[in-house]
Amino acid sequence: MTFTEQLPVLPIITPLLLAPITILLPKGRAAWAWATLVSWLVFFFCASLLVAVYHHDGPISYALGDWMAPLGIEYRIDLANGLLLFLISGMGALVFPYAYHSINAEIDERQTPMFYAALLLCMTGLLGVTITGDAFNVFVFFEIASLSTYALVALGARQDRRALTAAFNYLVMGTIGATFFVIGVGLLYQATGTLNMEDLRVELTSLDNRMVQSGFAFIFVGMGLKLAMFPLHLWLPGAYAYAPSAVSAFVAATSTKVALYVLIRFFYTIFHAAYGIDFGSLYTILQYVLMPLAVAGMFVASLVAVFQDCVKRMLAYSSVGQIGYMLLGLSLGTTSGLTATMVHMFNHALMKGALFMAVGCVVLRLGGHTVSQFRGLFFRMPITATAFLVAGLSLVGVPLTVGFVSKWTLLQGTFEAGYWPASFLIVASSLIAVVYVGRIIEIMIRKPETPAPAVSEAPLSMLVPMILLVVANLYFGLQTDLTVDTARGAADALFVVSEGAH
Amino acid sequence: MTETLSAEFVAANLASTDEASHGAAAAVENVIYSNPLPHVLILTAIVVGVATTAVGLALAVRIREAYGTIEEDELEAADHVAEFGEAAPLPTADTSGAA
Repeated sequence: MTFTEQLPVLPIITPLLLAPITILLPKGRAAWAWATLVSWLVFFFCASLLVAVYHHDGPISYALGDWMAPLGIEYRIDLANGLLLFLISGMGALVFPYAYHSINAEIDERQTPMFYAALLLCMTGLLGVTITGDAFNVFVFFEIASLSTYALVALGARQDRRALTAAFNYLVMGTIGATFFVIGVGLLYQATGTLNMEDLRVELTSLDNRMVQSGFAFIFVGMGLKLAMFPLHLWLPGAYAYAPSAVSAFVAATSTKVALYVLIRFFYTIFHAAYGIDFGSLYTILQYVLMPLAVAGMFVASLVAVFQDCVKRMLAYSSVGQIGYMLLGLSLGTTSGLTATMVHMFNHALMKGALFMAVGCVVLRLGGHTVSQFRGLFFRMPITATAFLVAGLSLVGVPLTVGFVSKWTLLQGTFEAGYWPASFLIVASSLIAVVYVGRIIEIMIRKPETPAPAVSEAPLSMLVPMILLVVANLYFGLQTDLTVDTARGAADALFVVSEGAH
Repeated sequence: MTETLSAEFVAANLASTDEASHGAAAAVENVIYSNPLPHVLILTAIVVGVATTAVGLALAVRIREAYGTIEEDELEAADHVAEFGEAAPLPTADTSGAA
């Protein structure tokens, strides 16, 4: 019963058991401090887990409750998992300190303990989806995360009542996605008799019948809705725009990445083996279904983002475009494409997290998040404006930032796979990103004609997480070894596992 | 969904209980039991559905409080006005003017 033996389960049970205590604490600093400490503890566990996975030969397997797989639920951590766990808990560790002042201004003071509890449960759910090696467990944890997110998004109603309709839309569409996913898992269970992912891989080897194919289709569409794949993305702009700023920052950085991870896990760990070593039908699907949708998402979402007046809505549409990039990397079907997807999953979280945090600072001090609030921001709130500038340039893909690293690895992937038009399209959609980011930057730089009333910078507990994210943008843009090598290791592991079945 | 247990498995388990059932063990050849896993899957799906319905209904109550209505077209119209502002009033038909 040592620490390292029980480490895989600690990131799940710690926030799950400690979140209800948050509700019992009095409103104000107590609930926030407790939630922040829990999130830092979870980050420590996930960081240790990532280090443990690095040193472990092969994936770490943990039998929950000592019930052995495939009958028991298994937690299975390899490099793909480990990186994403580190990301989710890291974003949680940054958003909780950030949330104190932001939330006090945006929601009713009596609701703050329940807000922190819901955010902890959302983080628990996302961590659980990532860490588990059981297909049905994914559904359970994803619903834990989604229900918390619906409530969190609706808490933005005090600022703008459209948060309620946005949360309701998100609820309906998210539930459709989850239901499709569970139908797919049910079909796989019916075909094989097992729910454990490793066992599914073994059982599905060369088992290609209608039941497995419909299961695959249901899972693809269900998770596609959850990860806001074009054209199933319609819930995302409303949910991100009207949620409280801290919620937007956390959810934009994590929840779609987790859904994409589930899709990657099902493709490569479970279905890759099913469709045989020629991967004929799976690759056809990737090439003819996923790639056009990914490219359509990249372009349509970026074009819509150009015309938004509300900055959060613009960033939400930009997220849909960036998810298009990740799906493009996935649809290439090669190791380098998958590396690019995983690198961009990590990097985009850093970029969008920093951007939404900057917008949150503006909302706190200036009361709104339309483009007019950003007028002359460099002279009124220089630190926030600089953070937005750096993260925005990272989103465009300027060298020295993580955005460039993602685009570079993605272009490497498309060149290697021989898809020259796709490479051109990646660059073209980056130019659209220049337009919608540059529009804000230009307004921030321009000195306002009528001197606006002076505002102070956001409080330190909001500035420090934002600056840490911006520094991470630059650090991981210069020191790419950590992210790119981990992603490459993860992609290789996923490919080897799926090919090793034969 | 139903499966049978082998006689040895049943006998081994029954043998660990009191002596009186020893005779009964020999009479049991095949025991039919239900696989619990599909029950678990459906129960979980039901519970998740109930929780989601509860959150959805709570949101519907809040929408009623905030908007005064729960009709989708009225909500969309209100959101449209909030986003784009009131539409400019149409020019009134001037029947006495120059035509």
